[in-house]
Amino acid sequence: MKLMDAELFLNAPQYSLQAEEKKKLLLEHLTSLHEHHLIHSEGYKKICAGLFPGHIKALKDIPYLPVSVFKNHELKSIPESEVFKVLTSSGTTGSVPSKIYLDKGTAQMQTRALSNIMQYVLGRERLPMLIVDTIGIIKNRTSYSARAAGVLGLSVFGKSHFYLLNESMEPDLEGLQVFLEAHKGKPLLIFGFTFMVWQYLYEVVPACDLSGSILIHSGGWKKLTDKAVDNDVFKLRLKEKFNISKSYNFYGMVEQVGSVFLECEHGFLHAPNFADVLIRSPFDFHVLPHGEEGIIQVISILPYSYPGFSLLTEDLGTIHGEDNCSCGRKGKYFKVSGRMKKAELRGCSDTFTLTH
Amino acid sequence: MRKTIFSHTTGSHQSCDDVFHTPRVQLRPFDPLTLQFLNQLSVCLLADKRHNRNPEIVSLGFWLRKSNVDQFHKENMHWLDHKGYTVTALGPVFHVAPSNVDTIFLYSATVSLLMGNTNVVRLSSDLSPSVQFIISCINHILALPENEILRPYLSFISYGHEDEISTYFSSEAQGRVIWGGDQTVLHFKSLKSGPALRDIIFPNRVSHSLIKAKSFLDADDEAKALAAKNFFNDAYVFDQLGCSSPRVIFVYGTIAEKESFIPAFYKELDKITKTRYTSEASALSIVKFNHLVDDLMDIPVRNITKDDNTIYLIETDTMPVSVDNCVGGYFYLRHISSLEELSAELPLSTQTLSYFGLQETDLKSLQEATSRKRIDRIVPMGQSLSFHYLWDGMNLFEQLSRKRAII
Repeated sequence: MKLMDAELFLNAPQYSLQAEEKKKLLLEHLTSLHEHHLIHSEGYKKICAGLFPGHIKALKDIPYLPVSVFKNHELKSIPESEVFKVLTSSGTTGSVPSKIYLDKGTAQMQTRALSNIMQYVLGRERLPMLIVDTIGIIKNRTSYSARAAGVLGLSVFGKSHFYLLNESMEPDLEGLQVFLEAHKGKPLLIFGFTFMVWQYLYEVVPACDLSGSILIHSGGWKKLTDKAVDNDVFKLRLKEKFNISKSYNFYGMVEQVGSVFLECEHGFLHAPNFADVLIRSPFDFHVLPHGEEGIIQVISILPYSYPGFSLLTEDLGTIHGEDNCSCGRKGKYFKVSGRMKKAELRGCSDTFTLTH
Repeated sequence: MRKTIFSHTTGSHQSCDDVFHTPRVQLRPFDPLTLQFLNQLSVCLLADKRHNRNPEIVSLGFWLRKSNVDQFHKENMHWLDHKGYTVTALGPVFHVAPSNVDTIFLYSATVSLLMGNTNVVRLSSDLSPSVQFIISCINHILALPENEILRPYLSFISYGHEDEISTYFSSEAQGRVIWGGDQTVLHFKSLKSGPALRDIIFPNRVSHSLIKAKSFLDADDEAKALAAKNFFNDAYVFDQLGCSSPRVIFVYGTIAEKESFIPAFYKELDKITKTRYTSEASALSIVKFNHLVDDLMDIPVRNITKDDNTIYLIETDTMPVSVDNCVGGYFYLRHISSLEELSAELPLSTQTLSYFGLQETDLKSLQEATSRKRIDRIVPMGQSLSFHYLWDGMNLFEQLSRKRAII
């Protein structure tokens, strides 16, 4: 990839590009990425020939692959020798995990992209970090689960890390006491997957004052909907119990490097300079206007080593506007309403399982 | 047996011991009492205003009508009424309905009842509204005084995945009817049962369609629309997942005919799906899209005809090895220029081949060309899902009865 171009997206302060300019820059950059993958990925080429034969004139014309495509196929646009690390999706029980191949350059850009976003909310100072997970998941360093990749990626933004869970996934409350004592009165950076923060921090740890701390969490609401916990309830309860008022949800997926959509103070997820979202109609995949709910397509300029720069997710969401969120960030802002409902199918056989 | 089950007949939990009853009066095959009961049930099913628009209920209602049941009787008379033997009931029959309940199990239960067997039907505890309605009709009709004798003959029950209970019913029964596909069949076969138990099993099957392109192209607008409607009923009613729903469409004709056929057929089918297809489009659209992307990488796709996400017509250069993922309107399309070619393409086993536009002579050639294949049903398009007592190559009336030789 022309690294100069990527620099443009990464070096500028995040959330600075305005609609017209962003559209133009993204289109230019994504078109060259598309050409790169056409040449280097046989699978991508076949998909485009069958499904997206037209010319790319606008962002909506950029081909999009389903996220599930990395489950059944090995898609990469670099020679085997340049594979630097392989990410795997967590996947639900029994499902095949996605495999994402990164070269050194793509991995570095991912780190920088994440750091750009995090600095926006964390500032330059590294805070003592409480990780609601176990150190066990990052011990294997050749292949990373989505959870491990998240923990590993975020841990660089904190210091004096304390992992709340021991390797048997039990909260280490004594250890926590020591950690809190050591950093008494100082704000913390807290990170974890949404349901784990709820299950192991909120439900287990006794009430205490963590005011000034910043919580960053991700991973979806599926496991919490059963408990009738949505983002609003989540924020409220954490404020009540721990006095945490800065809680940022982020939306992203292991299948797309650079898709880091962080929540703002007004509860909207924001597209950074190097990423974008489109909402498509489930009926025919046409792009829906702002305000209408549909399938979320995520776009990122970073995936160079594998053809994942434009993906159709299985999540539903709504774009609420562009460049005019009251938080001041530029770019599109949106909300995720959840996973698409699985089809309730009938038939003669009990055992049919859907392919996603 | 200390375990309990839930009875949909009594609306309460009861001991497993109280499920199979020995009836006071043994019904004969096609007993007038049974015929009367089925006809009353048919009237009840078709009378309800809220449910009589549901095609599943309407089909069942019509199937149970007296004239229809009399017709079955007539068609089977040649062996039911025979000098060399008398036909009797098989005995207690244990039915296992598929978990994603579809009404098909009611047809086999009816056949069993018609032969005079006592029946215990195991249902998933999560009944669909149509099945709930049917059961309430059955309960209502059974409660009528004239049906007292029939009451011990039909029990609808639910219980969890408790092998102990399934084993118990299997040991009490003389026959088992197992729906639910390969895995369910294998599971029940693995349970301990009596050595004399007769299993009537319905493993996974797939079905296809055969359309003579010229017949479709030459048809007038009305006939085209009707063909599309019939295809729609076969394919879309169960989101293409019935064992008799078509997955591959064989287009029979010249290449030029096939080329004109595809858009013409798509256009007609599109009209009907636009008005009639109500499944959860969003969930299925992603399933179909994922499938197509996989196919583009895995198999030689020649041509894709799709507009929105309702109909995917995927023409391939070779017969796809697997058709398991055809769901909710995802059809493979294969061009054939002769019926011999069709035979070469068909897998060894096809449950239903539905056809459109074949003349009498074509049907004869089809029979000859496919004589080595196991095709259990060849039916006009639109009748794929219509249940017949000849199913999966068996006459269920014979399977669910005994012949007593008298010499």
